[in-house]
Amino acid sequence: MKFFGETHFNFTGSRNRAFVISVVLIVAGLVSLAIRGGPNLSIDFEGGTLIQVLFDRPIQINELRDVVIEAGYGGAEIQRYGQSDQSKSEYEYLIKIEKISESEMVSSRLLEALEASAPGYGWRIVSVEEQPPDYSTRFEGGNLVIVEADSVPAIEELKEQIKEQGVGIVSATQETSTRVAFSLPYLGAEAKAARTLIERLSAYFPDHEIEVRRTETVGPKIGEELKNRAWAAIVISLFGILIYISWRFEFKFAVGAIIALIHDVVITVGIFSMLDKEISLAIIAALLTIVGYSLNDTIVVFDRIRENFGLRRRESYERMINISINESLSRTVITSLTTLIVVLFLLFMGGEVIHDFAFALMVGIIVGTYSSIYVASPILIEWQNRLSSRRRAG
Amino acid sequence: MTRALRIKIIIVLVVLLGSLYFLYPTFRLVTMGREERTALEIDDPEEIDKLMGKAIKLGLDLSGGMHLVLEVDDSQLKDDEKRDVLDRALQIIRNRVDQFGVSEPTIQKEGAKRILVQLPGLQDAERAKRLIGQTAMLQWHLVRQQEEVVGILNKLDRVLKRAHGDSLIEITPSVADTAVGFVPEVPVAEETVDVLEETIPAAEETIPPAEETPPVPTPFDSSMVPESLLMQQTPDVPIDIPLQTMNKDKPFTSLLMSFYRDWLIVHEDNIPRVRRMLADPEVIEAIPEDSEFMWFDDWTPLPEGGRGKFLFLIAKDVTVSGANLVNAVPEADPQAPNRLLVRFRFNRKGAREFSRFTGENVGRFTAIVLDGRIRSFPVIRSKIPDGSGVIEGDFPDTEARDLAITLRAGALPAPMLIREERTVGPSLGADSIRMGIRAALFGLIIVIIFMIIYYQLSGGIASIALIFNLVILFGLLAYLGAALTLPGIAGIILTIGMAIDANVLIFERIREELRKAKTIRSAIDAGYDRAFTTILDANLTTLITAVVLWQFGTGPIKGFATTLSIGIIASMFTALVFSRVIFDLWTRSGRVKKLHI
Repeated sequence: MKFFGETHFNFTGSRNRAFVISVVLIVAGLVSLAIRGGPNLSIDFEGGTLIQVLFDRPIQINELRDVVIEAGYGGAEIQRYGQSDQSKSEYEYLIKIEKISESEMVSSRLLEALEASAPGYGWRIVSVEEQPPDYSTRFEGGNLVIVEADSVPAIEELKEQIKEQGVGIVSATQETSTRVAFSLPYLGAEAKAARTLIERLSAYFPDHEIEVRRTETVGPKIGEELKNRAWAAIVISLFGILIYISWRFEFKFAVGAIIALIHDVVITVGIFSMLDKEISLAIIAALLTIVGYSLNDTIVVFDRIRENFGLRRRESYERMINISINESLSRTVITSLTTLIVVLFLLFMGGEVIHDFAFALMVGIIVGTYSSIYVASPILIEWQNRLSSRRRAG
Repeated sequence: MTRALRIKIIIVLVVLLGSLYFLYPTFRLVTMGREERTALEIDDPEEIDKLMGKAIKLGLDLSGGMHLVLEVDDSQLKDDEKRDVLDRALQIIRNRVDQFGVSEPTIQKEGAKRILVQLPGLQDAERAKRLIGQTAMLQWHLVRQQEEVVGILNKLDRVLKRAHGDSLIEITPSVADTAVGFVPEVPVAEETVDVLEETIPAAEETIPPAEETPPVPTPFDSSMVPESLLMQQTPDVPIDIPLQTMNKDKPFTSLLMSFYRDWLIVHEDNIPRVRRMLADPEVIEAIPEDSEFMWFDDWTPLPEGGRGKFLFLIAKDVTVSGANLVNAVPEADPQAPNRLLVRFRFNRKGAREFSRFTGENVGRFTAIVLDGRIRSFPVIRSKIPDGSGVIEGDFPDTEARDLAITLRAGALPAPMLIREERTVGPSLGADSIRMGIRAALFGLIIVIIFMIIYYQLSGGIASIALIFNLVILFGLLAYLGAALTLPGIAGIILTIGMAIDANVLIFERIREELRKAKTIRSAIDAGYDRAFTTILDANLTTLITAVVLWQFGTGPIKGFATTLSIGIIASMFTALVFSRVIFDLWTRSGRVKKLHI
């Protein structure tokens, strides 16, 4: 069986049209990134907490949202999980909390309790002082909150009322006629987010069986480092490729390949941004795989060009490249097709955890195949044209 | 048969048999029925361990379990102590995890300050965190006696009055009506002396510590909090609030309740005030350098109502430390059988020190300090020569057991902070494996069908090469002891797609050569030769990115990079050597008239 016999598509002739397509895709992605203020990074890089819970019976996402907000994580993102299996979509949820602030949470809780127990005093938070927790000693830390008001009601009654509001107060002392210092237990909003939420959930849904399928907590410092490492990984692998291709081929081949790779990565990241998908550690791995795959494709074409360069001296540079692309077309299409098949299986059957990863690979394989034909090789032509026109001029 | 071909056949057979050999334990475990496995676990647990050790390991995301990254906080250490602090911490954490009983844990250094701990199958995350993260520094400090303490208290009053006299705010003792101010009492004559094992019962009764009161869910509406108010917080700016007291002449002591034996009692409401005074720079200056104030861990109910905490003035010097402990076990408290205490035993050196310490200080109180908090404060009745004693505390069952483990394993040289924590439930891992394997199988089948339709018999050879490729991949995984992760499965699936590429390159070349009307043999030779450099260049560049990924990735990413790298190498071998051998054997006779390609 054969898809292609000898083909004579004019790939290099249509490179300007391809150039427009590439620019449109890249610009659309960059615009989306600019509008969203950079890529949507996951907690791997931003720090934060992720919890995946499975209920034995369906629950409403609104109820879940209420519990999460009550626990003080108003900024949390809640998603149904496992969309691939519609019948189960109200069972499993993903709760993501980014950048939790202890002081914000403590003050909002205290203010709320103060307003509820003694309204009309004009309560204001002056300062929140944290005593950080120490995991090594079970010392859970504490918060000293200074509150100001137009006037202060009887402090002991106030303290009791606040306790009735469910805010655990260690002590309340009147500092001046308008100032009160509250000492509150450490909420551990950052470190204990997962545990707090799980406890709240079991209290709110006492009749449900709740299975905690996954929790992830990443400190902001680690996230920052992972970000740097991801950049380093991308830059170093590009550099390694540059050196290898310069050695095996020529420098201009290396430049063509690298530009094609950057083209692929930028378009994939742009598409992720347009679809508002998160960039996690796994996606970085997918991006690097795309780099490897697209390169694979490019090298096969380059190899053909190198071979033909020796054989077809009389052809023009552009024609020779076009012949090379045509000669390797059959292989390019078949390999891309088989790889795409398995990636599609991964995408639709591999489960939710791997879904976005497979999606990135799918985009990358399509864009990577396109770029080895329409980006990497045309750069060689342009390079050669510039070079010869300069020679002619000089 | 040529010599070269014979050598190639031998290489192929060796690789095939080697891979199968390394795969056997995995195969055996996977195909073993549940009953057979239980039977074997009883009959020959060693055999199971041996199989598990040699089988392909599953990463945490597939097996379920816990992943922790701890960072050592060496800010309090001297420079020479900082050098090997991570190695010592690693050793101690390893000891603790070993005694905790987790099978196949991973405990390794990550960078200069971090330790990675992976505990497969573990579910009680909180308990594990406590067990691993607890410093477990056990120290005995001598409690300063009343006469000394009184002198210092008076000094503190004077210092505070001098420094803050004008700004001190006098409060009426509204809550703590019970806080009658400090009245130095005549020391209570010690009626019965306590042995070390029978420490002063310290508030084990009714009152749960405030920190443990679970916050009751309250209706919360964030819109009720005006944004402008939240913006006013300035947590970084130190607040300058006047100190409060009940009596301007005795700023410090008027906040204390009474003297009981060698310690002070502070009412709950006054604790924050006392804490702030103790943090005052003038006060810190005034406390003798060899002493420090320390609170007792638990609350104590007060006869006057309410509750309070004991405050001790202790000697800063560590008289005896837990470094020489040889054993620690939880046991029931003889006085209250439903409570647990932890009994410890010193080695000879520790016992000697302990014996001297107890001998010299008969009648004195000593504070047993664990991680900077007083856990109990027994009085020394007599010299204890055998180096054994107990630590009391209101331990839940597991906590007493875990404390015993941490004491046995030794103290961490510095506190460890948890920087990253991931847990995966076992069911999620099982789902991932099932789905991953299903996707891989379907992908494999479709690719094989496609190859056979497109390249006929040659496609069949490529398919056998592909399966051989997977056998090598899994065999190497088992041999290297590398863990299979979910991204690792993705890497394998990708390998299936890409491994075909090398064969496609060769086949397309052979087809081309055949079009040039070459003979079958020379077309095959030319096809392989021409495709070789392409395959090499294309795969090596992919290998570069895979190696970089392996170098920079953590956990799951490493798993992906591992399977991808192995897959690339295996695919080069199967395409260039294995399928070549088959072609050579097939066309060797020269009788093949038509190549099905």
